[in-house]
Amino acid sequence: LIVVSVALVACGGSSQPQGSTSSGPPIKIGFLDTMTGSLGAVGQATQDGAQIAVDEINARGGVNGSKLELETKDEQANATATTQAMRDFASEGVQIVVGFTSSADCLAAIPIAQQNNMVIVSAACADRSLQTTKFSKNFFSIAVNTDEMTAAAAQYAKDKLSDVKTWNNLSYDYVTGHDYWTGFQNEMKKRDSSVQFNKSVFFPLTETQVTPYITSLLSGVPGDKSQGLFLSTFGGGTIAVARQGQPYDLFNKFKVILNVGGGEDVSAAIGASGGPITYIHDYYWTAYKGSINDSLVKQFQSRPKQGPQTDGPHTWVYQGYTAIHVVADAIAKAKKSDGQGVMNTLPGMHFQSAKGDISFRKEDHMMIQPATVFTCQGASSAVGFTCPTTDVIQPSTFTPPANPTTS
Amino acid sequence: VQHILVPVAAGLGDGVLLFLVAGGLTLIFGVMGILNFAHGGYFMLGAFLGYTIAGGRALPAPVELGEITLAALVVGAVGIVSERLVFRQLYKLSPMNSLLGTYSLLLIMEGAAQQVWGPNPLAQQQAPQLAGGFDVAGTRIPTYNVVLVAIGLLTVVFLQWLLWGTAFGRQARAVAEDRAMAGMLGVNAVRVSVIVLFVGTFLAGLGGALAAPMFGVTPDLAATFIIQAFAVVVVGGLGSIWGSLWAALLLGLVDAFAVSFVPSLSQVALYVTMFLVLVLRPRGLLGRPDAI
Repeated sequence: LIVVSVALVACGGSSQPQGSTSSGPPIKIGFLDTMTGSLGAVGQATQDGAQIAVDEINARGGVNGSKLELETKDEQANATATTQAMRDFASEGVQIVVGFTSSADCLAAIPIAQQNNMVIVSAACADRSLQTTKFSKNFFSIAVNTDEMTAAAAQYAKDKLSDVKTWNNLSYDYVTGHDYWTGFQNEMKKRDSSVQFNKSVFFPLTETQVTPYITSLLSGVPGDKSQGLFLSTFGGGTIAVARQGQPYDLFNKFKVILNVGGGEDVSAAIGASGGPITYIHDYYWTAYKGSINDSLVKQFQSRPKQGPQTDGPHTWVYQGYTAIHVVADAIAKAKKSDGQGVMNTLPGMHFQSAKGDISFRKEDHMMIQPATVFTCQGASSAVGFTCPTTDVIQPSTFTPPANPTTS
Repeated sequence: VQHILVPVAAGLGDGVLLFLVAGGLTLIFGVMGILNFAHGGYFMLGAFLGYTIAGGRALPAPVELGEITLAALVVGAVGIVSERLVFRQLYKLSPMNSLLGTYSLLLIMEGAAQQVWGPNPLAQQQAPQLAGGFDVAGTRIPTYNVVLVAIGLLTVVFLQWLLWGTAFGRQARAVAEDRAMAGMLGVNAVRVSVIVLFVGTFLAGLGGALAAPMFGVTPDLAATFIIQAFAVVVVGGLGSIWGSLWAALLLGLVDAFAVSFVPSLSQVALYVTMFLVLVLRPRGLLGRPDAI
């Protein structure tokens, strides 16, 4: 039994070995993600992960005797382009679509999926409304959503940073930026009523000159490294904060910088001079052990890299990889590859992933999965940073109750 | 004093970067009559070239300044090529058509940058000597902002000398006044335009290369800075170098003070200032028909 279990896990779950040859027609899976523009790195890395999974599954004979084929279209981070691409998939008979960078685009795609019995397995759409007020039976997401992320951050702060009793905020001035900070405060208050919240500063998404925001933040902070900084920026914004914060010794004014929204791609860009940032994110490749994670890492490292230059697979790669495996497992279990079959099979289904056992909750399709903590800082390595400390936050400590209101 | 010095240092540094883009933009408009929407693209190109030449590494300060100058010179050379391939076709078009033509060029530059450097933000390491700051009256002043202000002042002195102290300056002002008449009087308007475009794009490239160590370098920089640069040109007065300088510093300071004292207005302060200036002085701060 142990040998059989190990063999199954080594093969990445139930979807893999269906025979060494494939006889049926290929199963087309739509891949719709942002492949160009400033968010193009997200789609390229997600596609990389999805292709690794497709190659892996096909090398083992495919699913139910059929090989998988990815058909890629560009989401363009644009609801109009997304809607058109979904219509094109529908007219081509593609009923399973994975990918998506933006929650707004996921929301735009759902009506088309509903009209055409298609199923969406999103890699990165993380807005909580997708599992509550905008819930749809056609939609599933691999991503840890915004509410879960802030709750996971609060749980980590309570468990591992209990000596930090005062938190400050530096975030982007848009809905999600405000939601992150409000959510973190609420979740912290639930867990530790003695925690205080001090200075909060928001800056525009497109702002490049962030020095005034940094000085405004620091004007209310004692600078004795007793307080924490909640930072929900990503990409160029975090780089600007790190760079323009250097003269003010920004990162050394806080005991910890806790970031949701960013990842090791930011530390890669900041490079050797970057101070420590603790990220709360979906995945970090050294945080998990097991044959599936090992396989993903090995295959990622053996391929030409797309997206961020990192030593191991980025979260986006993991998400694309997992989305395909989830779909393949559902097809194998349903024994049919249409949208309706996959849609009916996914709720409540458990999967073996690079993060271990994960599942879609029946009521709202929220993925029950761990969140990942990793602390990165600049280093004189080839990629310019290192993330020596990792941790895993179990879903039982942060997953909110189901509350879907639309179907 | 602390509450005043912090936004002053930040606002002046930001203002100088804006001036380097807007100064070239207004110079090109003043002499060539073209509203160059692609100008943000030269800023972006300067940032990417600065990153590429330095390899992203922290260099000693003198080497970094040399690298920045080299990046700006390459951008100026790209400007000359652009004049030959694109701008020469725009002289006879209406302002609206030339604006659309340069906007197309901006999009091409953004797309090309993404193909060459990818969509991920790149970060240029700061020279160790310039990365820190020093204290004035208990206020931390970033060293790099002081360098930016010094470069801004040198640029103004250079432009003042170029336009008012050289034969080329006289020719440029003549072309700005009346291109056809200047040609009849023996001024080589094409040569003047090429040099003006070189100087204008050099300044934008200089701004981009100077900005590279301050934030993530992405193709988006092109569009981000061109909008603010147009605001500066409008507030300063179309075609006025000095107007651009004062407007850039004014808008940089207004933005920095708004962030420090009235954060809720920070995103509209620049445009409110632009509105007020245009209501009180429709031609902008120093705008007049013959301004350069």
